[in-house]
This record gives sequence, structure tokens and C-alpha cells, in this order.
Amino acid sequence: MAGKPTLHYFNGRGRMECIRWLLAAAGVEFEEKFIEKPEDLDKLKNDGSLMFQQVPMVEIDGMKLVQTRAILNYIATKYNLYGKDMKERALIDMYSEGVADLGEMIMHFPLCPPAEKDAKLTLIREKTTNRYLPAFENVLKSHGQDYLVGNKLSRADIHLVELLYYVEELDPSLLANFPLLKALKARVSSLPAVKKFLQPGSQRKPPTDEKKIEEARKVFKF
Amino acid sequence: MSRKTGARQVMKTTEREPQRQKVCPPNWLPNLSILEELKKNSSGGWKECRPFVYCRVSHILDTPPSHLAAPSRLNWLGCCFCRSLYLHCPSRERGMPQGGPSGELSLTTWFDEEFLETKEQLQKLQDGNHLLFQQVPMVEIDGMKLVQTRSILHYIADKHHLFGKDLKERTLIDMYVEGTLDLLELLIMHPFLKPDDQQKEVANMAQKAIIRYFPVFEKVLRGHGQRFLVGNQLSLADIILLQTILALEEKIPNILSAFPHLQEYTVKISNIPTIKKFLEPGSKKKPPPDDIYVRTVYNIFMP
Repeated sequence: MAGKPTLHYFNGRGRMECIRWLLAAAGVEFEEKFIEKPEDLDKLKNDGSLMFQQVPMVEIDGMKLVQTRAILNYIATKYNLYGKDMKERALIDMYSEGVADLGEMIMHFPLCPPAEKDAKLTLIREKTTNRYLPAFENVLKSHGQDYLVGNKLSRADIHLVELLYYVEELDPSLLANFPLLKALKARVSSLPAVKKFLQPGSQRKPPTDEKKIEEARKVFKF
Repeated sequence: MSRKTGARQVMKTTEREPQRQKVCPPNWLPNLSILEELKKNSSGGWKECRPFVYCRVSHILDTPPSHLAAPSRLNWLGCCFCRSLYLHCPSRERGMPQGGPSGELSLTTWFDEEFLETKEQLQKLQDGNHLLFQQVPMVEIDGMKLVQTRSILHYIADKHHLFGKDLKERTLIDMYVEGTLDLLELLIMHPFLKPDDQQKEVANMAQKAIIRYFPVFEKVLRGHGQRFLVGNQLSLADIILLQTILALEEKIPNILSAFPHLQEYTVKISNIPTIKKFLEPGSKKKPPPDDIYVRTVYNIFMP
């Protein structure tokens, strides 16, 4: 269908999941074309569809967008989830980048060699409870508003809530001392579009397991 | 009160050792040992700087030697250590119009730098809640303490009209910048690899540049025949790409040999007055990473 954005990626979370969350929270329906074999990826490359020969790639509004951040920036701007001025955008950017840093650690964790897994998990826990969650809890405490920036839902809230779900999957007790973050999670989760996305049968992808990693390794050759 | 900066006198001396004339606030701390090491290793003209008074950020300040490039019409003091420029500006504003070679006026945004040299300094920033995620870079600008490189870049680009004229141009700029940053990241991490891995990594960077990134930009430039990547005006994409090309050329001098449009582009962008100034010796552009740099970073950031 011409109207809906089309997402090109493999059938897993990876670097596309935050884009799925943002589109879903914005109430935008989207199609997905899954890359299941190396040949699928090669076809996209040979088509000239991938600017830097990489996915994620999102077809939207006549463009073939690549680079996760560029895609997120476009969607956030288009659907008014990027604040009302430069200063709000700067705050939203800072918070989103912080979320991305922790998200990156969590995303790479399943790929960690078994010998290093314990140390890595300890590091993730430590950064979560000492660096990132306190920063966001303090932001909410400082202004007492329902959302991180400008008293209005923005992409920063959506990225953060997505992250909180991953933290919870890792270890629910990590969220224990962050009441304002728990409240934000509940609030955002109850928004109709997000609630729908959280239900079984939606396009939200399940946690990455060994099988998924093997699939990804075959397709992306790493 | 001296004409130059209102507070400083430059002392000329024939001695080789710096004469310390303290002009700074009492909480100033010198780091002469690093200065001595830098002097030994430097290949730049500033080694012959005449001493010396100290700048606001605790480094040695002096008029630059005449053989260093300087905007001659203006009074300025160059810091021989951190290469900060302090411009004598009668109205005490941050920016000062300067005439370029073509007679255009180009506004250069001056900025101060505070360098971290010790773990304690980083700790102080962290304890004082100046760093949102306890990390640098941090830029104090317009009453905000911005962290996260991309947030800082976006804010500056937005403010100074380097982000295109509409959403579509902005998105193109975003894509180009993100791709280029992937390549630049390899360069940034390179000095911190094990020596055995460093040589291999240079080959990897060269390959990525030549096969994945440069062809894209070569094609873009060939396609529209314009001076700049997006929208026929300077944008963040041009600046990040130029930085990356120049940094790569330091390691692989002929990296652009198969890309004639990029070669021409590099020359043209480098000649933009503000950028040209930044590329001249004595500017705030930092030199290629060396052992002192790597050691300093480990000292500050290792737990």
C-alpha cells in the first residue's frame, strides 16, 4: 500500500525496534519486509536501496531513509514528537542519546562471549542504577511534570519507556528505587496507541534469543 | 591598563625558560611537566613562543610569533599550550567580524576551552552535577550544559543555520552525517587499540571509506555539480565530512585518489574563510593523537 511506511530489517529487535516503537506510539501503521536470507539483503544492496549498504531502511514519503537516528529524527519531527523549539529539541536529543547509549549495551549483551557475560551484566546493572536511571528520575523530579520535556509527550518519553521495558526484562528489581520512572512507564503504556502495541499479536518483537542471533549472524554475516 | 586585553602585559625575554608572570586568579594550577613534554615533541612554530603570561584557563599566553598565521588587523593573544585564542574585542562581545580575502565579512564564533588533565577535574565536574550522564564532551552554551556529541552538534547546527532549509534537506544532512560519523568513530577509537591491531584497523578504515562511504558522496557531488553536499549551502554534513577526510588523509595520504569530485570538494570547503582559519597553525584545531594524548585519556577516564 502506497500510504504506509515500509520497514526493511530482519525479524527481530536489533536497531529497528526503537523505530517500530516510535511509529506505533505516533499511531502510524506500518508494513514490514523481513530480510530472512543473505540473498534478501544482497537484493536490497544491488537495487541501490541502501545508501551505505546497511539496514535499517525505511521507505517513507517517497524516500528510502537509512541510519537509525536520521529515521527517528524524521518520524519525530513529522509527528510532532520533537519539542516546540531548539532548546526543547536539545533536551530531547540529550535524553534520547543517553537512552541509546544504555540501549546499545543491552542490545549487544546477547552477543557477548559466555566468558565475559557476568562482567558485562554487572556493568550494565551498575550503569543502569548509578548513571542512567537516576539522571532521568531527577529530570522528572526537578519539574514534577508528567513527561520529560515541555510537559508534553515526546520521543524522549517513548525511547525511555521502551528502555525501561528492557531493563525490566533483565531484572525487575533494577526499577525499584525509581518511582517517577515507574509512573512514566505506566502513563505512557496506557496511551491507546502504545497499549495496542504492547498487546500480543502486535508488531513488537520478542526478546532476542539464541535462535534469533543465529539467524541474524547468517543474514548479516558477522 | 594595557591596550591589548585590558589586563595583561606581554613580557619579552631572551631566556629559554618561561618567565611566570601570574595574572590569573589564585586558584590557578600550572601543569609544567606536560608543557615541557609537548615542547619536546612539537613540530609547530609555537615552540618558539616568547614567554609568557597565563591565560584564564591556566595556560601560558603570549602574542604568537610572527611566522604563525594571524588575522593581522586584529589584536589577539594566542595560548601556546592549548592554542586558545583570546581576541581583543572593544565591545566585549564573543564574536568579532573579520574581513576575508574576498572582502566578505565572516563571523567566527569564538569559544573557550577548559581541558581535563586529571581525574580530579573530571570528578569535580561529576560531583558538581554539571554532567547529565557523568560524561564529557560537555558544552556550556546559551545557559545550558549540553552533553552527548550529537545533541551538541545538532544544537550548534540549528543555531547557525547549518541544517538545511526544510525537513527533507535536514533528513538528507542527518543521513550523511550519521554515515560519516560511523567512519569517524573508527578514527576516534584507533589510538586506543592494541598496537598490533592498529595497522590492521587502518586497512579496515581505508576499505570502508573507499567502498562504502566515499562513493556515496562522490556520486552526490557529481550528480548535482554544486559546491556543497545539500541544498547548495554549507551544512553540518560538509563539516563532518571534511573533518573525516582530513583525519583519514593523515593516516592514508592518497585515500581520495579515486575520487576527483571529493578532492575538489575538499579544497573548496577548506578555503571557506572560517574553515581556512581553523585549519591554520595556532587555531583550536587539535593535532593528531599521540602517546601523550592516549596517556592523558587513560589517566582521566580509567577507573
